[in-house]
Amino acid sequence: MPVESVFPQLEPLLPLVRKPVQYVGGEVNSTVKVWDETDVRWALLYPDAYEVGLPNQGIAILYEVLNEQPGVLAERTYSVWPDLEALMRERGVPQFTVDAHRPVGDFDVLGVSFSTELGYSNLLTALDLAKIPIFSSERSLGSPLVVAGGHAAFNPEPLADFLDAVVLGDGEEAVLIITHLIRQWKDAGQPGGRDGLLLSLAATGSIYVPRFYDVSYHADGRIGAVTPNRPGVPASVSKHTLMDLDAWPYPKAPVVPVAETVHERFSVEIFRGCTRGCRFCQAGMITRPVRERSITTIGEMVSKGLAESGFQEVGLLSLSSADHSEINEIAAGLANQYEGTNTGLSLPSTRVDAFNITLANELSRNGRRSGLTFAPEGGTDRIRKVINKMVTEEDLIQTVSMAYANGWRQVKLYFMCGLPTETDEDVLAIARVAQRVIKAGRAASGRRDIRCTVSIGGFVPKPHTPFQWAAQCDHQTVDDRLRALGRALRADPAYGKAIGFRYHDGRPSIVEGLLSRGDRRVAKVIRAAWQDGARFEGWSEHFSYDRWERCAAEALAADGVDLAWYTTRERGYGEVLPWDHLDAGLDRDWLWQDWLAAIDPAGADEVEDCRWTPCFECGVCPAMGTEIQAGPTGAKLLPLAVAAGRAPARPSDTPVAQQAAAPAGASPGHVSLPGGPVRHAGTGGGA
Amino acid sequence: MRFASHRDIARAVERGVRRAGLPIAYSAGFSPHPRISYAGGAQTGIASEAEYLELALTGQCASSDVRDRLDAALPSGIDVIEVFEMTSGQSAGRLDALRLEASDWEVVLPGVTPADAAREVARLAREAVIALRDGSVLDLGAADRETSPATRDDSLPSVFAELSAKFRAGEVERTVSYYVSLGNDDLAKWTVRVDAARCEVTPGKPAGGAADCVLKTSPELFTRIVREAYVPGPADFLSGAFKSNDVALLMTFQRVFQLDEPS
Repeated sequence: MPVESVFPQLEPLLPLVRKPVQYVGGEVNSTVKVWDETDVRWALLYPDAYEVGLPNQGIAILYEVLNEQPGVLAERTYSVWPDLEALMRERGVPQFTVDAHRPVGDFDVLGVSFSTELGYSNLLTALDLAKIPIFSSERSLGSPLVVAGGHAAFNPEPLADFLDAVVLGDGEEAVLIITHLIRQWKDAGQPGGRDGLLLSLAATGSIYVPRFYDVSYHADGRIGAVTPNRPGVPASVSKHTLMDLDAWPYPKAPVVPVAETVHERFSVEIFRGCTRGCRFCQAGMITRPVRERSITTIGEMVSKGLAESGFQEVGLLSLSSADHSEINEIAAGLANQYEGTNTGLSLPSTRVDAFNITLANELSRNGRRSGLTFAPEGGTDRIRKVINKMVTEEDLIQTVSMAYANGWRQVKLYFMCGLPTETDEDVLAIARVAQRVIKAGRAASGRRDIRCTVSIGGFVPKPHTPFQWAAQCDHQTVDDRLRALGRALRADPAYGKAIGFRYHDGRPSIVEGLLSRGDRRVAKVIRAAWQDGARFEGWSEHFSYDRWERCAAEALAADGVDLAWYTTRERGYGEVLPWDHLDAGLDRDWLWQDWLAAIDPAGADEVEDCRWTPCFECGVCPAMGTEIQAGPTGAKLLPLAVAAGRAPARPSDTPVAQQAAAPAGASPGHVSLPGGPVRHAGTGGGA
Repeated sequence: MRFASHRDIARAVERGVRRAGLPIAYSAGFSPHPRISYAGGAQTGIASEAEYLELALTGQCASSDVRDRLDAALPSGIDVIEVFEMTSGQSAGRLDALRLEASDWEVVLPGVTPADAAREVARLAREAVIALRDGSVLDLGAADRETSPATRDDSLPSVFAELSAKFRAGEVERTVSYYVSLGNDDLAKWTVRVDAARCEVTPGKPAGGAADCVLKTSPELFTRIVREAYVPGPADFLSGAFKSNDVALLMTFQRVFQLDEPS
């Protein structure tokens, strides 16, 4: 049975809403297949606005991987803004995909990618608009299977009531496994009904089905045990790890939006995973080990991706891009290849050292040198040791001096407030660092018009990190420290205008903390907040702390726990954590030792990067059957044979570099180095 | 494509040109831009059968080749109908050489009968003639109080135009400036200055960055305040949906623009 497009009902509503272009689809490289010629159909939801969701790498990769399969259809759907939501409810228009405007409720699977916990409430809106029961237990055979993935699904327990299944880790292979099992189940006449399918998913050992587990609680509110409630369900579920990035060169031809989005560039992931061991960083812990994409594949992906998309900028993504073993060759190769084509190159997530400046210089060549971003994260050497961010103040001063001396005008510094063991002094020290930066920069550049911006937000302890046991700092303390820092930054008129200050107040971090480390009881809070109007929690104009505080107090009253219990309470070694049965490969005792090393009153112990030093036995490689994959390979960005024999059959096969003859006098490629570290946002791979 | 703004279209064309591999020329300077210029451009929400644009290329290309390649490279909904070369007499950047003098409009009014539409047009025509007789021009936005929500322009410029139409002289003695911030987008920031005799609404932040009163809310809420005389209540202030640093001046704002009584 073909499924009708809802566009005829949607179209009259579009003139009444803001930015209607985000709902119309029709983008270059979007895919529309004939419904009846496919048998497994995925709707991929990014639970935020189109402008944020479209550039998401995870969705972009899975969209292509699935649509390349014969008989498989994948379409995209995004959260609709409250103005359209109200109209859709009034007129009975269901949640739709932007590709063919098909109702989401008619698909076999609804795959949801969570980069941040702040997208949880938007899942409920999408389910409800799709007329899918929000509780997994109330769904019938006709409802899509609701499957979550992405970094923020590594502790899916607060969403356990709403999800049918969860994928931990890389999504590329996982979506194909799920597709295969759905097809098999449909072909066999849906044996065992919905539970029959879920059981076959759970039996893989790497797909988590929350409702096949029971959770018991102690009288004091702590978890007693999490146990499978039927045979054939493993006690622990492990993450997926993609072991050959060169075999999965996605995205090949990303969807090019007509509407404006947050990142307007072709992004290629140059490696996945990070072993720097920053103790606060969930991404660095859950994506181990490091797996590099080869320089040759990167070159081919950039060349093809630019030709297929027409984007003017290339982003080299990873958790710490300067760490690729052949980053010099990649940067120089791309800068050479695209010289004179007005193609920008950007390298987000860079680290604090001189090498980084050389690299930034190379990427910018003769272009403008506007701003560089570094993330020291903490204000003193002491606190940086606690978080295992091995950068001394002297490193930082030397690095920024070099940046200013090389013509960079602005340096942005990222920090966190509320880190474990942090004192007022650790935060106030940031002001002194910023003033030293300006002083050193003025000396190095001989100019007074240089600037430094301090950007700071509240720290949220995350599951599967050494800080998973930590007490989150309360928002009053965070706000007091931020206010004091603001005063200190403005105190000395000699630096007044040279130092900028940007901060996020502490309250949203507390809600993020509740959702990050919550258990199944938090589902009641999410549902109550959503019913009370919670939407788009990542947007300050929509976020309401008071709503969450009130809903948490009411929904959790009967359980004897509260918001503070979930956030500002330190956990002990023996406590069962809500995600202990979900295996990211990290050895629990290793994490605990690392936690103790961090908070050692005699001073924190540092852990080196296992790419360059012996293994520290975090446990991931043996547990997951994986290994570090890092170069150098010694290969070239473009194989010589390909570079010499390029004879395009049709225009779009030709790299932009070869076609756009350099106009006389135009300056070659410009560069920008936006963004700081990738914190909670996924760099791709997760469903 | 009718929902795409002019900026959206311009971006799509830039990318299409790059995808098509056309040897586009770039402007000189610090941040070079592809040299593409447009004549007019339909407003957001209005479909157009023909838009005109001019590409500056660095090399000779056959017109039919440019048309085919660009047509294939653009998103569905933007078709390249015809491409012709500007002669050397028509210097680059002179799209007006095309002499676009008039355009045909088709207005679709769902749910309105032809008879009602004809009556309404006749009424407007009469008012327009009266306005001309009196030496002015009919302002359709102000004249049509009965505009249904379905055809109303929800863009911020129209909301602010409506706001300034509601200005009542003699309510304040000195000049008061308001900074209205309706989002992070630069287009969402407006400055409103009122004195005893007149009001001045300008897009963008106030000159110098400071205003007597700052008003921060969502475009939706602000639209309701202007159009439905919605008065923000304690709930709006507590939830942060509506923020201001000076409640007294806020009340002045309501008085000056007659926002305390439904229009």
